[in-house]
Amino acid sequence: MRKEISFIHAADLHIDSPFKGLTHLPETIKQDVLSSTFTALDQLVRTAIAKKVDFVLLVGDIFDHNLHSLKAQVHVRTACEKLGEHDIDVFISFGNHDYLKGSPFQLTFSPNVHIFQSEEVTYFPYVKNNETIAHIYGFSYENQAVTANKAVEFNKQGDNVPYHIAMLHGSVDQQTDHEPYAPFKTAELLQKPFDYWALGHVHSRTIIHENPPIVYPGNTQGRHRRESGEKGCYYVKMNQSAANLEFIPLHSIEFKDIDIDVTHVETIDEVEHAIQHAINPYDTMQTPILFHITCKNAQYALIELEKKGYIEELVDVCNSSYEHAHIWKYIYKIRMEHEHGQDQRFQVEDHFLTELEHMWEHTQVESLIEPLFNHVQARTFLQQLSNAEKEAIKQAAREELLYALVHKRGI
Amino acid sequence: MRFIKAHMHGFGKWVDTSFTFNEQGLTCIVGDNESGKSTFQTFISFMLFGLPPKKRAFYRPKTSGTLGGELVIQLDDGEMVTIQRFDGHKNGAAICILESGEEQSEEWLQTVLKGMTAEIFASTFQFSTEDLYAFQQIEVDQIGEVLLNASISGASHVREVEEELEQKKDDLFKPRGTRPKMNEQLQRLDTIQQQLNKHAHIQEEHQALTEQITQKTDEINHLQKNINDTRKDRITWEQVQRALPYIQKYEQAEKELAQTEVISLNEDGPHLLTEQKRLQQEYMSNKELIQKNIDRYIDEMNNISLLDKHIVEEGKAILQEKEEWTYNVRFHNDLKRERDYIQTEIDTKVHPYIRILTPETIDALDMPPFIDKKWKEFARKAAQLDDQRLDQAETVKHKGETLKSVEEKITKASINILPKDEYKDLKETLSLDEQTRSNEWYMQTLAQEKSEQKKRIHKNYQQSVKILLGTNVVALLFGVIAFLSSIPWLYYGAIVSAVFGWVQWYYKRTEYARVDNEQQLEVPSIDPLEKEKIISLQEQLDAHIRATESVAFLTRQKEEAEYEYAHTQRALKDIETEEQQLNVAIEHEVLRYPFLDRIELSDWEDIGHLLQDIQSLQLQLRDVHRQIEQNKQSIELFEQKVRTWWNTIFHESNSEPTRTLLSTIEQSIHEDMKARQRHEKVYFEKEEAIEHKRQMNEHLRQVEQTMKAIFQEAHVTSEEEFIQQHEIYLEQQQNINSMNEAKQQLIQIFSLTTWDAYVHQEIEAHTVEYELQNNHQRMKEYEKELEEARSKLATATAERTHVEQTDSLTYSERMHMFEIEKEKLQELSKTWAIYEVTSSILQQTKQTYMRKHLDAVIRRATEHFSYITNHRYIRVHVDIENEHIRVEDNNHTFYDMEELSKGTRDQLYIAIRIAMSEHIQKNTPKPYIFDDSFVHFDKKRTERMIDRIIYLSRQHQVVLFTCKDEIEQMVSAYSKENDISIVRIDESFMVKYDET
Repeated sequence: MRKEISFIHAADLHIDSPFKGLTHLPETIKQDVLSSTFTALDQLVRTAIAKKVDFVLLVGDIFDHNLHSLKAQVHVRTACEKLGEHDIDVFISFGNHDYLKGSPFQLTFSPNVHIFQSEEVTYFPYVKNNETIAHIYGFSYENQAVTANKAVEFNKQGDNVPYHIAMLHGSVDQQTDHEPYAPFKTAELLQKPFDYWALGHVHSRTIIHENPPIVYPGNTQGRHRRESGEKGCYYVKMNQSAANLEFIPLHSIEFKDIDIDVTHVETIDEVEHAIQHAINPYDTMQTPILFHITCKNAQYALIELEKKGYIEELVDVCNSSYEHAHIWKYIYKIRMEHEHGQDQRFQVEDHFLTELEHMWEHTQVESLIEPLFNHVQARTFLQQLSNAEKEAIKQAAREELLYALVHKRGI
Repeated sequence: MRFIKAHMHGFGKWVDTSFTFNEQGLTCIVGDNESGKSTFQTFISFMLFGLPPKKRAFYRPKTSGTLGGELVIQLDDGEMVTIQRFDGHKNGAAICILESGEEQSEEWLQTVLKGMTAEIFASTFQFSTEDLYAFQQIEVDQIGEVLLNASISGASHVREVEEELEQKKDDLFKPRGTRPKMNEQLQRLDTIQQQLNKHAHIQEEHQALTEQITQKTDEINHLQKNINDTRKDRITWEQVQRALPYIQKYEQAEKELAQTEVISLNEDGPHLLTEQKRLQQEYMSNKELIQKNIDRYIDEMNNISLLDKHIVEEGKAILQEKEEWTYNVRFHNDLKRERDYIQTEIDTKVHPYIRILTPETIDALDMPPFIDKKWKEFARKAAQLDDQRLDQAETVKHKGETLKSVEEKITKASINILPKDEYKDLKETLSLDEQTRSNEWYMQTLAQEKSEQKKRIHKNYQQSVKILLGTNVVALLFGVIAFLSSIPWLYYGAIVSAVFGWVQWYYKRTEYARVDNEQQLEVPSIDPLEKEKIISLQEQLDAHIRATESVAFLTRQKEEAEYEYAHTQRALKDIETEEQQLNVAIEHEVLRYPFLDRIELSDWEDIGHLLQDIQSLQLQLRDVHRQIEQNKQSIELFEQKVRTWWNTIFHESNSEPTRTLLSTIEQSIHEDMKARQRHEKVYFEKEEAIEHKRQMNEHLRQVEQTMKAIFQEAHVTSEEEFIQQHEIYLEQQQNINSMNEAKQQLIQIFSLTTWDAYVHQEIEAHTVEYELQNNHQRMKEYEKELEEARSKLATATAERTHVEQTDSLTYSERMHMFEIEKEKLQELSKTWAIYEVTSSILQQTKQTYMRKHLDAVIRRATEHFSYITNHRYIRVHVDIENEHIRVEDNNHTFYDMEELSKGTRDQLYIAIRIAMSEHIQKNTPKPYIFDDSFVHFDKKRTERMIDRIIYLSRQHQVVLFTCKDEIEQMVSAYSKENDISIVRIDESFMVKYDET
């Protein structure tokens, strides 16, 4: 008869890592946002203590080494100490962001913390009341990239030990959003006799397989619009027959993407009404929300308002009424999206415009923007643009030109 | 698009004027200066594209009417559209009316015109003198500009956009600038990065501190170990120091013990011997004391006197009976009282009957047990029979009276009964009368039926007469027709109908006649009796019947009454007989108990009861007498017993009451019992003492044996020898004890396993002293080093904590700031990129556009120019590199623009313009409007020009405005082969059009 064990499985905490797309936040909100990854860890510790778990698994990317944040590391150390005070062990494997050789600081962790110190798959026994209850397997990235399939290196040790739990920071075969480090296939994991596969690296929460559980808990706090929705960890209870997984939200701020159809919206009042209408349903939410609003099917009148800066002003006004609440809301971005095909004004028959349209097809954005992106000073700070971004710039330039040539003349 | 018709409600000098265009070909409008040609052109532009309010105000009619009008145009697909504009309507907005009558708005019109503006229209399709003046020097880029102008944006606007974009770009970023936004941002980032770089030393510092902490921690651990070792050493030497006396003691005792042979002796030997001697003395003294006691007990027993045991037993038996005797005495008195009470009761009960009964007689009476009930039954029966007799006599009397009354009623009823003959006659008379009445009623009914039948037959007969007439007419008609038409079967018809008519008439008539002849029925008539007489007779009969029935009924009643009367008389007799039998029984009872004769039968029951009670009491009295006698005997027997015992004890008689004697006996018995108890106690004590004495003797024997055994064990024979041997033994034991004590101490100091390691080692006290001093010195050194290491560790830890807590926070904040600023830069860079791309593309498009269209335009322009100049010039050249235009004449000589005459330059311009217009409007043909464009042309070239215009008008709608009559004439010359209409605008124009 196996005894019941319980643990918390979290990954990709990315403590003190930067947030994307939030360049103009007011100071109070900025503070909330910057502390949110810390808050998530604190919440995790509180949960672990409240649930009296046996141990906590942190599967890689706990902090970002290239950010050199000592604050983050000290915070993790303190959190582990607190767990130690409640006899909760912590098993840590490092991932591609907190790889062993990249660590700028040498921190000494409390004795309840067990860190996988090499790229070789090893295990720690988990001992409770002088009895080995579980073997926790894992490895840490020594360098930023691990391209080998590490899943095949996991081998069960000790038949008499009741539980075998594997920690693996890597990409499952079909994942395309993340760097394909330590890639593996689900079938490979299922061939191994482990009771639980604690995964990390992929930021969206996914239960790949139910029995045995193969789980990506996702990250603990969203940091940009693509990491929207609830974020947290899994509280796992295992006994002889089954594993019971419960998702525990840890995030203190939520990112939310909203689409508004503005086909029939023409005046600034109507835009305001549409925004309010879209945001009001979130009044009852218990966490602050950062909104990214996309206005679909924007008509000429709205583009005009946007070009004149009225939309931006309106968003400022809206924000000023939301941002001071205890559970605040904030629109950090509003974007107008429009279809040229639907606007007859763009269908003007004109040789010059025809030529212009023809020209876009052969335009290479890269060579045009070289003066900036190859600038000695600028290139140290600038990130090279992705193809999608270049395409977006091309599209924006096209709209800008059409607007300037056709609409601005008031045809 | 084509112009079809224009109507001006009011526009400048034009008021309510209509104008029809030549749909195909050329419309030549001729008019002097100021005649309104330009105004008309503006009107067309107004209709198509509208006018700003100020311009509209300028063209508001001076005389009257509102500004406005309509222009009918035909679209490329053939649809006719009427465009209306009025100053007062929606700020001059267009109303477009389609052929279907549907109205469309300004927006719709703009869609139809496909982005065409007034400016583009003017620069492309209107050719005016002003253009020529303004266009003295044609440059390549100017042609390009013109071409661009012809595009949707227009050259100047494109230039504006270009400039605007450049400005925006420059505001954002200049590769060598400092002020633009992005350059500022770069500087800001540089600053932050420098600050962050400064923080890089934190990492090194942290690393160094961590290493220092690790090193110091190791050092401390090492020192701690040394200190522990030294401390252990010191403890060991201190132990040795403490153990030294015990080691010496142990060694000394061991040495002494080795000198003599070890004796084994019972350790308790001397003690046991002393104990035995003590016991011997104690037992001896005890024995003597016990003997004295025994002697004393024997004396005491001899002094106690006791009664004879048999006499005591008798006395005890008497005392046991004392209770019974006391009870008997009390019971004897009770019996005497009861006897007296019963006697009194008997006397009381007998007293009322004392004259007829005495107790003695009663006692002698033989009374069966239920005699009282028997006597009670006699009384009850006598009373019952008496009552029955009286009731029955009354019933007999009543039944007799009933019988008598019935007999009287019969006699009364018999009066109304008739004699037999008389009754028979009366009945016959009444029967005959009733038959007569019945016959009369039957005859009346029969006559009535006959009369109704006769009426019906008469009616049938009348009907048959009508039928006869009808049939005869029909037969006649058949006959006439048969006669006239000679159709033979019609005769048969006539005959048949005639026959039918007569036959039915004959039948009905016969029937009628029969009925009519039938005689009237005669009703027989008997003479009935007079009514009163019959009633009287009927009454007589009824009375007779009633009386007869009544007598029969009463006769039955009489028979019943007679029977009942006889029955009751019999019952009375039976009762009387029973009474006689009872009286015989009573008399018999009186004979047996003569005293009953003097007592009423009703009291017999009471006397019975009394007698039974008295007899019962007499029985009780006899029983009490017997008991008194028995009791008296037993009392006397007991008293006799008491006196006899007294005499035996005291040897004298005594006359005192029995009760006094009994208490004396009681006392004597008690005293004797006490004396016996004492005697027994002393006896037991004596026996106990004897046993005790025997035990003492046994103890003394045991003591002697034990002492003998002690001596044997010690291999001695006497007490003196025993004491000497024991002293040697004690000495040896003391040495062994000393060794053990020393060993225990050493075990306590060291341990059970290691204590003997230090024995026989010959350790000296000064060696120990030296080792301890040495240890103390080392300890001091280690502790000093540890203190120093700890202090350094604390410092390093504090420093590292400081680094972790303070600098890390600042760093984190800066890092985020840096990231945010970087992202801002990234955003700005995207905006810049958009402007950069926009600007580049615009320029590239412009160049490509111009290059692409210029060649085609120049080729066509060459054609026009060569024709107009009558092939004097054969080619137009464009040097794109140098943006330069040259023309080549038929001698292949090249001329720059400046070298050409003004007229030739105008011609070149028009040639290029026409070429451009043609090029641009390939897909969307629009009317050409020429307005006095030939001012500087000589006659020959004007003719060539007109020829070109006519040539154009074959494919396009052309409107030519001119103020020159010769041009009108030139145009007229072509009117035969070409579709041309000429309109003259003069004073009479409006009137003329008004009429049409």
